[in-house]
Amino acid sequence: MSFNYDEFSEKCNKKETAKKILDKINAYCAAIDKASINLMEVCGTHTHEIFKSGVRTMLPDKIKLRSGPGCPVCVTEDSYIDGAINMARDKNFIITTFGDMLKVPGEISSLKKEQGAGSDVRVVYSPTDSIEIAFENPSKNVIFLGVGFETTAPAVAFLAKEAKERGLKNLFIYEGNKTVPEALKAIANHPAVKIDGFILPGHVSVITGVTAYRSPLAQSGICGVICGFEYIDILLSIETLLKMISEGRHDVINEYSRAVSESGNAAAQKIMNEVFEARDSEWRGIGVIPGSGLKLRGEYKKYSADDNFAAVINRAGKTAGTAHHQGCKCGEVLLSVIEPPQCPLFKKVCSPIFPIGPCMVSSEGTCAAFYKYGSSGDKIELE
Amino acid sequence: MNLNEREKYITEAHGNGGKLTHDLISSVFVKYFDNPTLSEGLDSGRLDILKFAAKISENTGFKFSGQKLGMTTDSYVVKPLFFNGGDIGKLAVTGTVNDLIVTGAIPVAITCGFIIEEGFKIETLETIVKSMARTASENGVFVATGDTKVVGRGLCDGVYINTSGVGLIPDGVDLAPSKISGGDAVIITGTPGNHGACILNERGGFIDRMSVSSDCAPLARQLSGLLDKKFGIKVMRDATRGGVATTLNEFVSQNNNFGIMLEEESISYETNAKSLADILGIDLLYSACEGRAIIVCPSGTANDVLAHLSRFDETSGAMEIGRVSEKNKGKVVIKTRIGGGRFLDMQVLEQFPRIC
Repeated sequence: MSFNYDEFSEKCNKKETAKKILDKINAYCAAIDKASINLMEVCGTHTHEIFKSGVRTMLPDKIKLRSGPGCPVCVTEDSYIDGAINMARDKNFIITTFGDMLKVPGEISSLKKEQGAGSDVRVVYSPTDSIEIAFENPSKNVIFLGVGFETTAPAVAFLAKEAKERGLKNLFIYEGNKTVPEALKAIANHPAVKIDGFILPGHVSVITGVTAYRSPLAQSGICGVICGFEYIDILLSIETLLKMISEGRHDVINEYSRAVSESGNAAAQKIMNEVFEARDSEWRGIGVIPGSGLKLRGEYKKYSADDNFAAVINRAGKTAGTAHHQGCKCGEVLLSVIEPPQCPLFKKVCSPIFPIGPCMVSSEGTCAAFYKYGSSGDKIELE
Repeated sequence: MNLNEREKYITEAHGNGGKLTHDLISSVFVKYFDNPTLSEGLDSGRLDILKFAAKISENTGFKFSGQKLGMTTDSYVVKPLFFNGGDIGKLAVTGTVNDLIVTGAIPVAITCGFIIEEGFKIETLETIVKSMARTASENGVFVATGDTKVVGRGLCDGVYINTSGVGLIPDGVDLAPSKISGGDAVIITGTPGNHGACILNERGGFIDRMSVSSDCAPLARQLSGLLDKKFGIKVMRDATRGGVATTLNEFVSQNNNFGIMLEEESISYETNAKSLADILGIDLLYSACEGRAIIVCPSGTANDVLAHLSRFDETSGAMEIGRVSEKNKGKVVIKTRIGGGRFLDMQVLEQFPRIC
């Protein structure tokens, strides 16, 4: 099932290989007795690669590729962003964050706007960049926005460990990290979502391993393939999903075995387990998913911004849950109930220049991908 | 004239029109830009059009009875000022020379306006001016007039340069997107996006500085030969900000009777620029070039155009990257390696700030 990409890359005629896989896809597709086959990719990078490589335009009409909640910025609820804004507005705080979070609108403002108004909001490339900032500003509370999936959680955990080892008293983590397997289970069982197979995220799986998906997917009766990021990976994964669907199997198969192992990255899991414990977490568009968030545990609790600054975070203006910007359908886009062009705001008022919802703000977002690659319902004529 | 220690840096007095201004002009600008027009020392440079037309005619065989001028202006604010493959001075001449030649105008003269930040090192200014002068003379243009302004510290980022240029358009040359028709070939004069990737690397320090080089290069010599009517060139444009994809979108938006279909397989990239772009998630088709022109010509002359371009170092990597098509009207589409397709829209957001 798996293949050595580098070797393949050097030796193979990609077009021919793609064609061979597509022939199989067509054959499986014809044999499956369903009006449509819905496959969901749960990773923003997959969404982009699918568009970029033109995979969408080559598949039989029967196969519907759905984009799931695979962008951590997009699934971050408004109330979290509003809490970050409330801290940013307080002169005693410095906010450090990955750049993607800056422009995401909460209910009251965005961190970018607050930055313009004088708040101290700094973009960092690694969570640990916050350490130096904390040392240089001993009178300020430095808050790192811990947003991301398993791919960033180990680095955030490392930040907490470093803060402890260096005895920092003014560095905190605003807990927003989420985990993917529990969310998949929730999507699989969501009444509005009709999915036949999951294209599972490659990077997240490097950390979690294949094991993490087995139980959630087995319970839902939906098959999944862990997929790499080259277009051949994606085509192969689709072929494998169709094969399983045609056979009525619901396994998890690892197509990306050149990077993903059965049990995952033990060192990353160890530091995550040491620093974090699971908690319920709210996902934009989906609601609260039990056990899908990460919270600092034990001796690391003292670095929790949520615990230390609840009064600031919850100041006036913060919404109670996920608020909806008027007309914005990011929630439905994240669940893949609709495609971006079906949102009344898409391309009309909502664009990467003036994004209304997070799916357009984040470069990984589904709306941003649809916008960038121009597939707003137009059909490409190739021959 | 020797500058004493105190005068190693630009002060506001260098911009007040007084003695220091004159000293700066003669010790830096005139020293390198010197030519008969400039040395007349008038408020504007006087150009004898007929004389230039006769000279170009002698060298190229083009006729200029129509006396049609091409005129352009551009401002340069690149950061960093010096990058692998060029500097702001070379860029300021290159950009204007290329804007002229892709319009079908053979460059004759340029102007240059400097806005300099107080505290800027005069030695650095001299290096930039020297680079401008070299680039200009290599491309048969001269600086006909100039201007210097000094602004306070923090009010500009070192130095900004504006250049304008005039060129002569040979008889019968009329390049425009309206001439494009179905089946025409789309050619680029070299690998796309190197300048943008280079600037990004210089700023971010991602990989070894010398491994990604800008494509910054004036193309006057290379492209002027293509104005010969035997090549039947429809339109040319330099793919600067927004890169190749944006330039092609300009063509289809100005003439939406056709679409453009690129072939991903036919486009080659400079290896290091491509690696950097892949790591950072940047699309080189949207990354700026400063020495690449997009040329649309009839499919029948495409091989002749490529053969002509292959004679010059700067355009030796020229390649046909796609065709004009009756399909997908008003759109630029790329056929991917595996046979799928995607739209290449006009660039929406800056991939990198201040690249030229």
